[in-house]
Amino acid sequence: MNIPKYYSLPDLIRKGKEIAATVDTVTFDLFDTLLIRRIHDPDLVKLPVARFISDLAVEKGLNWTPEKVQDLRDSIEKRHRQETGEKFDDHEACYPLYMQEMLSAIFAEESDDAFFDRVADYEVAMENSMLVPRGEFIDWLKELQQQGKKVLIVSDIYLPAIYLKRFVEHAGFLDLVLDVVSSADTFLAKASGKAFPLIQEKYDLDPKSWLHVGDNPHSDGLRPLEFGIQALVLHDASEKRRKSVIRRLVNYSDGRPFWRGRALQQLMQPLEYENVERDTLYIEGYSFLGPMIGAFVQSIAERSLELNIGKVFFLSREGWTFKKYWEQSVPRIFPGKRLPETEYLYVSRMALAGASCAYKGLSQTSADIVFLPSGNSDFHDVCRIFSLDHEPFAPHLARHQLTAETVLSHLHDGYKQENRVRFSELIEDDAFQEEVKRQTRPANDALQLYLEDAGFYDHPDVALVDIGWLGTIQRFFYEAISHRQDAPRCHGMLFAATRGIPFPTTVDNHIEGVIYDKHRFDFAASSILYARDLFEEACRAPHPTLNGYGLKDDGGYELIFRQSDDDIGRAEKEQDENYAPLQQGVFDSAKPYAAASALLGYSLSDYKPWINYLLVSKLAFPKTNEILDIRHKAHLDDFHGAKKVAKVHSKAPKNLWNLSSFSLRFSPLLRLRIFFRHMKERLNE
Amino acid sequence: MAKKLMSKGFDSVSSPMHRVFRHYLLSRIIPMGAYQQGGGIKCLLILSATHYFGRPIFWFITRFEPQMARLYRIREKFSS
Repeated sequence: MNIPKYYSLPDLIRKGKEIAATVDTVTFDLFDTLLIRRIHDPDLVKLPVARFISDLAVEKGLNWTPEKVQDLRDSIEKRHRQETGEKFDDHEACYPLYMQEMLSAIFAEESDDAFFDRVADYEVAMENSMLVPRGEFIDWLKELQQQGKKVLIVSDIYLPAIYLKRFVEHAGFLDLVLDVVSSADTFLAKASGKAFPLIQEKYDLDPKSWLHVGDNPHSDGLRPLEFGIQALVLHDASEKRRKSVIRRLVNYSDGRPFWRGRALQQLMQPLEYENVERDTLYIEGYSFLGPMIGAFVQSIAERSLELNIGKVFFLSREGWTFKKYWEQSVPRIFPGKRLPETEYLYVSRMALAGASCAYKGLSQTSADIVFLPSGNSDFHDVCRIFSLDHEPFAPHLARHQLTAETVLSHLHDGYKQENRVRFSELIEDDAFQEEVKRQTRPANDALQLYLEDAGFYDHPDVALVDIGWLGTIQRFFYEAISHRQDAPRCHGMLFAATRGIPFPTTVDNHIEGVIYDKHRFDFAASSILYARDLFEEACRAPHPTLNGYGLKDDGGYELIFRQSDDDIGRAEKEQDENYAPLQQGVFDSAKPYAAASALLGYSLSDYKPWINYLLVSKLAFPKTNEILDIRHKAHLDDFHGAKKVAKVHSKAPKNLWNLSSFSLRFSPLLRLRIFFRHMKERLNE
Repeated sequence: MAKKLMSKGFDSVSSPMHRVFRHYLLSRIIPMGAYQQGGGIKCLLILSATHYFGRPIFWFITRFEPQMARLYRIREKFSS
């Protein structure tokens, strides 16, 4: 029998429309016809379900690995198919029957209907995340509905129609079809041809006025033709090519970890009508920053589970993006785990600097931090950063032959070595420290009220998540809370730790860089140093920075934000608007990241080679247009003062991301030269 | 400029395969960092072929699937 095959979707639909004009009924196969899967092998969707069941079992104290769960599922399904084959022509299985049997075998009497529904809901959610409706078919379905045709979906699968309807509803075309028929409900399948008489009888159809469309030459071609139904079979070359790409990436990932991140990205790609035109910044947010932030928050979740962390605090302002990404992705990646609580904490270096001095005074290291940025030079800058009033310090400064204007930074004209010696003596002066403590105590008291409100002291272990770089926020933060007996252990997790100054690591307070850490030599990841501001600006929350914590007259506290109506505030708003598509791309990538990562079962260490490639390729060897499109226009840093550096120190090394488009385009071997300098700097660190 | 996230060849617009390939070749000359063996020349060639020349290849494969299957069986017979 000649089976009419079509090798492209438009060709099939053209022929289908011709035939449809002469028939009353059109039936469609569901999988690989109306719906396509992002992954090449549908069985791979079962693996995250096995991991989910394994996690639930471990939580109940049962030792079931995902592999053991999958083996049990396969063996029960196989037996069910054999038993069905003894009574029917088709060797079908029914999901609720074999899944309930499997759950009873693992969880005994704890497995009830509600428990089964939880597992089934997760399996449906995983399937939904991998299924995409074929746009051109849906357009045709709409036409068929308008023409008053009876449209049915017929599928040979282990899932009953009630589940298939959930897929179709999620895909948005349930209202376009009369009904959905599954072989799992009757064990009469298209494969044997028994499904067609059943459907004919149930819906009172005439085979002569009936067209069936599917992808299987046997079930969707030969069998309907034998029953007198017209049939069209789709052999879509384009779909085979797409599946070939993802199949190869998944298979290569086994032996070459480099491809794991690429496989993740391929699974995250939008298909069919999802793949619409986007702004360049959106594309970079979705494809470059999104997977990196996804791997970062996934890694935080894994570390939190390992360290038994009760609550994860995302520190402002970059933590806002991390928290949003977490909420959209982490519960989907770890559905069976008890995840820590999360909270967004309003902090900033400027707000915490003052509060950190309330009990221990101003330490030498904290004072030295002030003079790291080249724009700070004197005691006025110390006062600005630590929220101090400089006038009461005049007698203390005079005692050490200093004034508020004495230059204390070697980068500025007028600097003398003895000024720093005198400044160090001032820091050791008890009267000076008493004044520091007196002035900073209200800010610390307000901070304590805020932290109590945020439930900070309710857990013995907390994670503090920030973008980086030196860990100054956590340094000040811990100094501000360490006087309390109930201070939790603070596990700092930074996107990148550059560690410009040594962090005072203790058992109760430490930091680690997740994507990059200077203490873990990772040369490729160090490319992040090329454009740190890009990450800050891309992740920044849409609210002004925090200037401090204030006590109110009624005994409460208030968060004091920086004004946003001055030039800097306006520049920041403008930058936010410029980066809006970039941020949107990042957020839109969260759910696809979660689905892809849950399916692949990989974590940061698996994605790291690809992330390293992205960092080097995008930051150290970017195209000129990429730099021009992505680089930020304005970057606010209140910590950095406005004083001019001495001429001798003013020549900063070339930064690739700050160069003109002319240099970027025409300077010979520019990227290589800067890369070699970067390499030398890292090796000399 | 507006673009689609995925190209017609199912490649990532942000990190296309030719860029991965070029980077791989550069990393063979200059130390770029830890890529855990990197992509591998065979994988890169096959993926590049699928992305950039996949249309005629799959046009042929889908139309001559039974003949191709026969060829595969013959190859397997000789390789075993």
